[in-house]
Amino acid sequence: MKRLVLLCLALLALLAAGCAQVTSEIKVDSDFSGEWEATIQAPVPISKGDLLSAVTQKSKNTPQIDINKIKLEAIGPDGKELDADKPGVQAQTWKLEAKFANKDELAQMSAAVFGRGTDSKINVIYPYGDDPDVYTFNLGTASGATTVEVDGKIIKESVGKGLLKDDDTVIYAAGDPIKFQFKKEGSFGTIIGGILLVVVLAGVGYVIYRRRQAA
Amino acid sequence: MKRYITYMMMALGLVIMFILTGCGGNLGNSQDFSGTWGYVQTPVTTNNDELNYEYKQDRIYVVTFEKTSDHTYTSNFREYKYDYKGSKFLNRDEYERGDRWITFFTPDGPNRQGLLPKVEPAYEFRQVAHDMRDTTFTERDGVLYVDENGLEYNYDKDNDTLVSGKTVLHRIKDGDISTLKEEVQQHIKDYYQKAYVDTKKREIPNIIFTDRDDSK
Repeated sequence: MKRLVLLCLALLALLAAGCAQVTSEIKVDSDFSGEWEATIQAPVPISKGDLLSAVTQKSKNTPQIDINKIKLEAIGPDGKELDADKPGVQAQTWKLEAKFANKDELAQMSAAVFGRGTDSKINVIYPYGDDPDVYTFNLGTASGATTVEVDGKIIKESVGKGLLKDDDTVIYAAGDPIKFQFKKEGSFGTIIGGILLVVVLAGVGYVIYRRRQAA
Repeated sequence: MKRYITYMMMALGLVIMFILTGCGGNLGNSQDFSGTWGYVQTPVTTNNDELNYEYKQDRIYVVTFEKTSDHTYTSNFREYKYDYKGSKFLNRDEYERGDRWITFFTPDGPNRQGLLPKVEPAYEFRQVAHDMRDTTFTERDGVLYVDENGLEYNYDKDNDTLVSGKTVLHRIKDGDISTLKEEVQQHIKDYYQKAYVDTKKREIPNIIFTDRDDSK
């Protein structure tokens, strides 16, 4: 979780400075856990220390961050990974990676990255309408090209300016509101429940059949 | 026959269990939030975590939820506030009879005779007229989600309130928002007490609160 918070704050720091391009890829599973990968393209080379110090300044009111848990990769001009912990090493391109365990962690990420942090809870994934499997995905305004993949079917009419791809993936350009509805894939519980129901009904039918035969 | 009924009961029991566990996509019983709710939005804190007590900032929001389907609502927001309408300098003559120059504005602090200015502020309650779009909500398990932005309101069964962070919506019966108005009036009184009475700048014997005709 701390890694996630730092990741968010790092992005926030750069976004707030208005000087970074951030490309994000977010993958959401059926239980709303998932992964978020971001590539930050800074206008000037920046060291890991500078990046983290910016984060520390931005995180006065957040819990102490354990920087050892961050997966932060510096990428050199040749596309190869640099040893960001080496003194003096700077990079313009940074890759950040985080995993969220559930929709609440995703909401915390959104609060930090997109400045939606209020004392109230603002969800990224939340129920929509009467269908128990339909949810809204709402991440606010895209800070860069943002790809979102869900385990389900995205409702075409709801993607706004997004570009729908393969029913489960949508891509938004910088400045677009990332908001759409999707129908979640059937959960394991539903499948088991369905099988149970069929078994029970078959059993009842069989008993009736045997009773009638006996009579 | 007895055995047959037993099997049927077992089957029925399983089906009921299945439904109750929610495996069948059933959303269960939902709380009905229809009706009118309201809350007072108090001033925000400053960077130093001190209360920025600009008493004029208090707002009363009245929200009316209308059920549109089993788990969806549409809502209408109305906003109200108290406007400052000026203050009466009740003891101007007496105050100026001291050895002070004639006062053009209401002064703070005693004159040389030690007399404090006696002031009566007046406030008028009115509806803030601006466009507030209707908002739609989705309800699940006692939680209301704002469709537009994912903001969450949790139902507090014990207090019959809807809570979102520091925002607490109280159910309003028969459109009576007098308790909310009293809360704001108390904030205004507290402000004058803290800013003028406790600091011995002025005496505030009374604060007048009136309602504008269109505030109903």
